Amino acid sequence: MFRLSLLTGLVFAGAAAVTAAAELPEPAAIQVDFVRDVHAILAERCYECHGNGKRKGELQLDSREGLLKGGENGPAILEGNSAESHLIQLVTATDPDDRMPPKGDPLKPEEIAILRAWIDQGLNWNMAAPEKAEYTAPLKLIESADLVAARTETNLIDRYLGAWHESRGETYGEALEDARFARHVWLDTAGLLPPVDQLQTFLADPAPNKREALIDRLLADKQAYTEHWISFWNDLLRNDFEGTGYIDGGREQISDWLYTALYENKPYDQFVRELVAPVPGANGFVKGIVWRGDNAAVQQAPMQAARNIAQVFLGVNLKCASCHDSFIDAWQLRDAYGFANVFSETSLELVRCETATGAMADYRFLWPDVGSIDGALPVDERRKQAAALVTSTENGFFARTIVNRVWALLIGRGIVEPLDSVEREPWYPELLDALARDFIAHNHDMKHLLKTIMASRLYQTAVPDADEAEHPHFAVRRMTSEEFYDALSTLTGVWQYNPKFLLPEERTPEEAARQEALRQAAAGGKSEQATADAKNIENRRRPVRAWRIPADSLTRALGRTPREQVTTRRESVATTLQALELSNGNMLAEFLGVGAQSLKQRYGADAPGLVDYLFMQGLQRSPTPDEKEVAFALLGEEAAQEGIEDLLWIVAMLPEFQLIR
Amino acid sequence: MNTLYNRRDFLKTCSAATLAALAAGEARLAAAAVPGNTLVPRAERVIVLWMAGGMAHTETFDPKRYTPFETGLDPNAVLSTFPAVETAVDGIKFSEGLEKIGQVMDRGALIKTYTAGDLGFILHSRHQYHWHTGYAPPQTTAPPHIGAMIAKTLGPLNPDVPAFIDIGQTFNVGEAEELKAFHTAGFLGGEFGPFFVPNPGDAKSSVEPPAGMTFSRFENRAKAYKKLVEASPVGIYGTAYQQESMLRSMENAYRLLTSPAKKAFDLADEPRESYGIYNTGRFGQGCLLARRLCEVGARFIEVTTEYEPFKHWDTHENGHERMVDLKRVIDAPVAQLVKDLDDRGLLDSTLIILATEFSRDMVTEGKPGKVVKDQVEVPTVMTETKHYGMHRHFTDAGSVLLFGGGVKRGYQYGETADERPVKTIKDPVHIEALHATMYTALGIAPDTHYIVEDRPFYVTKDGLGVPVMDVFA
Repeated sequence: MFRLSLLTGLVFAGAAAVTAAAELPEPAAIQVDFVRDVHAILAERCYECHGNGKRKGELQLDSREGLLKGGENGPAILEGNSAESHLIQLVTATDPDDRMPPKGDPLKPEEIAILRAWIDQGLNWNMAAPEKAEYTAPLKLIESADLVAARTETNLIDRYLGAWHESRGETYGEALEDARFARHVWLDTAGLLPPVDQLQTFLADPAPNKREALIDRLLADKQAYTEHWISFWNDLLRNDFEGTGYIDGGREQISDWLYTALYENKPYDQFVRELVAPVPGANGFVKGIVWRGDNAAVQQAPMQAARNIAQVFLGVNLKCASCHDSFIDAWQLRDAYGFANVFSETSLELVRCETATGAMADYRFLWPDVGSIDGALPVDERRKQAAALVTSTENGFFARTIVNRVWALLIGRGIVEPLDSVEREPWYPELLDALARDFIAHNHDMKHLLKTIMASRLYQTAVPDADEAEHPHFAVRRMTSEEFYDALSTLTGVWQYNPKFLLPEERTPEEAARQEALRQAAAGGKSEQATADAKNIENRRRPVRAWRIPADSLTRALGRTPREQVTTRRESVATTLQALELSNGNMLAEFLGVGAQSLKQRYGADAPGLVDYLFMQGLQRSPTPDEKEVAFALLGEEAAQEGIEDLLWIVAMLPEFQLIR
Repeated sequence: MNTLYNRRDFLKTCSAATLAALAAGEARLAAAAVPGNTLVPRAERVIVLWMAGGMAHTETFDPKRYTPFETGLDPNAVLSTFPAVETAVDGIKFSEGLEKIGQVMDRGALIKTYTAGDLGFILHSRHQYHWHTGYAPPQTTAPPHIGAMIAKTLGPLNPDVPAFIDIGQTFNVGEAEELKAFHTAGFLGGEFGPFFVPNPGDAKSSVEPPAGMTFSRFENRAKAYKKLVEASPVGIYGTAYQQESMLRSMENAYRLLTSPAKKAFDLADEPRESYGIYNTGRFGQGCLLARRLCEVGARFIEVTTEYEPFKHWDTHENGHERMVDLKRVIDAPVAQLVKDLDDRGLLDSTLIILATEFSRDMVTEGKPGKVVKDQVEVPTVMTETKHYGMHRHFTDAGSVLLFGGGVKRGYQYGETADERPVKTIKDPVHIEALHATMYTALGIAPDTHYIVEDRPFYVTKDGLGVPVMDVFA
């Protein structure tokens, strides 16, 4: 779908208007768009000798400067004068020995018409996107210990940022106070708001190292950690309970494997090896998604595997290169196919822009310097080779990519952006690679990485109050839909029911029977009793967290991803449709209704107690007198059901509730 | 050559005009490359009337030789199971049961040669995805529904009415996941996604406070919310930037839920007689709702007969008998929608597209000569009336109706064969062309694109959609 126009649909003024004298097609009568019209011609016909680092005759055609500077025979282009431009003379030369390109057919008249128009219109080089970056990410991780050798901070990040600040005369912003730190760290480890009693204990604790102790304690809660981070991984591995493809067996879940892997905190390199060369239960990721019918070549399952592995684990975007040589980076069609071939039972033919080329793909890893793949081996063995190369410590992109993803989630922005283009220039390459090295040195331990970031001074600093654009490195995060639902559950003591995934300890015959009854009730109410049971508060006291429930209109509006594609960052913008769902959607209204009932049971007519609780549990602070006034006015003397519902709603809608940090 | 230059000049103006509407977005309206386009775009809004499940052209808008049922009939002999009837236009005949739409054909155009994507084995939802996005799934980047593309590119006509409204589809049916996959704004983001009205008869509830909440309580809650936001210690919790965008979205929603425009959602407000004409069931009510929403400023509306496997237009048996009812469901409301919009002076600025994912045939599955598995069973000799009807999926021709939006009145385009296979023999129209035609009617160049992951994503595949200019007046 990213194919740039190969001119088939373009109009040109050439054929009819050729001047006999020079046999030169007229410039095309269009406003030339560099990306759409020109780049394909240069990339397909010129770059083999004059691009991607090659400069035959000292001529480079992959930058505007290169064209103007020219080569051995002087400037290639006279800006604004295509008729006199050397490039045009060469591509229209009648003598085959002079004509460019020397191989293949001459450029078509319509292609020449485009080039002429482009030169005449001022040689616009608008890539509509960042140009090929000057920066080249090193394949191996940078060693920069000397940079921070003199630093005394104990935390790795503190040392690097200490050096950064010192060299720039900058300093940290305002430190997060304990309560906000607690909220932040609870949400980032467990995806939950801190329970009031535990928060109070933490706030009252005088120990100087209590923050580190809290991080350790929360990370040690295997279940809470798993139930939070599984959503991150479901997005990345586009795994879900429902979705396209399942209808025909064209897709497999990996939920059981994933839950266990996170619960056991499987070392990340092993985790990835088990996905790339699938162990039982982990096949769904490389299997891809296949609907009934024929897939285009660019969507065949081995290509999906190559693209997704590159994107998710290596921060490399092969979407362009899986259809044609990329126009925005150095990846080529044969790189994508060479890697896809690794995952294919039968050898793949190169297909360029939906046209078979007749050439067969070889077998290769994205960086041949890391190692090669033996195409003679059966597919299972090839996958194992690929798994080893993807996770090799010789391949810096592997650790860099995950470290950057986790950083972005906790700090708000990646050290390098976008998260799926780790070849771009990081704002602090030494820091990124130091974290990556540290991660590897600690046996690819995800929890070590989390702790390193959470214990850093940066994590414990408030994001300055200003336009996001002023702070390219930090951002406030909004709760995900799962966090929002779970926060409401924590607030009201009422959870979801009818989960699509049973925890290992729930897999008993009794639980199966109970779930079945609830499922039937949810499916349309087999009996009034069953429906009542399902919605009964007591049946909803047990924490069934939102990730186990299939997406609904509210969670989708709140940004839960349809896991049809790999998603590496949730959409967090506030939209009108989302606000509508929150304002008048029945999902939320019903949930708040049951929640209010539960709170009514607990607090009776004790309005002050209820208000204090809602603020402490929801916002980790006491209400101000002004806030109390608003709350009491809404609750009335009796603290009736409706008043509680409405108070719950207005608290949950506060930016302070939904924003983290 | 001259027209080329003129067209260019015109398009510059046209793009600039549209760009003005987009000032806040990042849309890039590329200079269009459409030969012969001197069209002044008339359409401001679009209504898609979706015949979900596969509507046979030979049973609806492109009837062929009629063969009545008799025991022992050879299926190969049957091209249509209804006689043809005259329409308001000489030379255009419809299948019996569509007389009312036939009477308004002098206000619209018929494309006889829609040729559905050749996607291999048939999965209705996959073809529907292709029709609604221009891309065949799976896709690496989620393509937006055309309604989302239009919402993004042109914005709402009235800020109090969602730009993209989807009427009639529920998502607890078979292939629901596949349906959900294209009822989205894809990479454009949730802001441009569909506002769902699954049950048009109850559309009112989608713009009312939640069930059980009085309007005064709803307003009181909103006021308390505003007060609490003001009372909160602003500034130290979350950045002003984030807070503002959240609060703005809440205000937008509140404005919609309290706007006078929301009356349009209430079908009880429609005069009884008019309601009666439309009310052939949910689809008819959906058409009425669409008309009312046009009047208050909706930008893109889709009304579906609803897709549910083996229901509605997905006729795998008893095709003839079921067709009688399917026609009854659409005939009056579609005709009335055209008339009402015309009477109100809105037809010229509204493009109505009646379409389906593919057609049907009694004998051929897919396209002629193509081997397709899981074919609908067709006996060699018909012994029961349940065999009588177009039960197989056919992709090589199909009918699309266009009304309004600058389209010619009383016109037909393309030719189909009069003998089996009843396929396109002249002027095929693929999805890219149909979309390009729609975009062109709206003044959106078919190579308009948005940048995602540093690459252009075009409103028609690769920006190459070429509109069917002949259908424009």
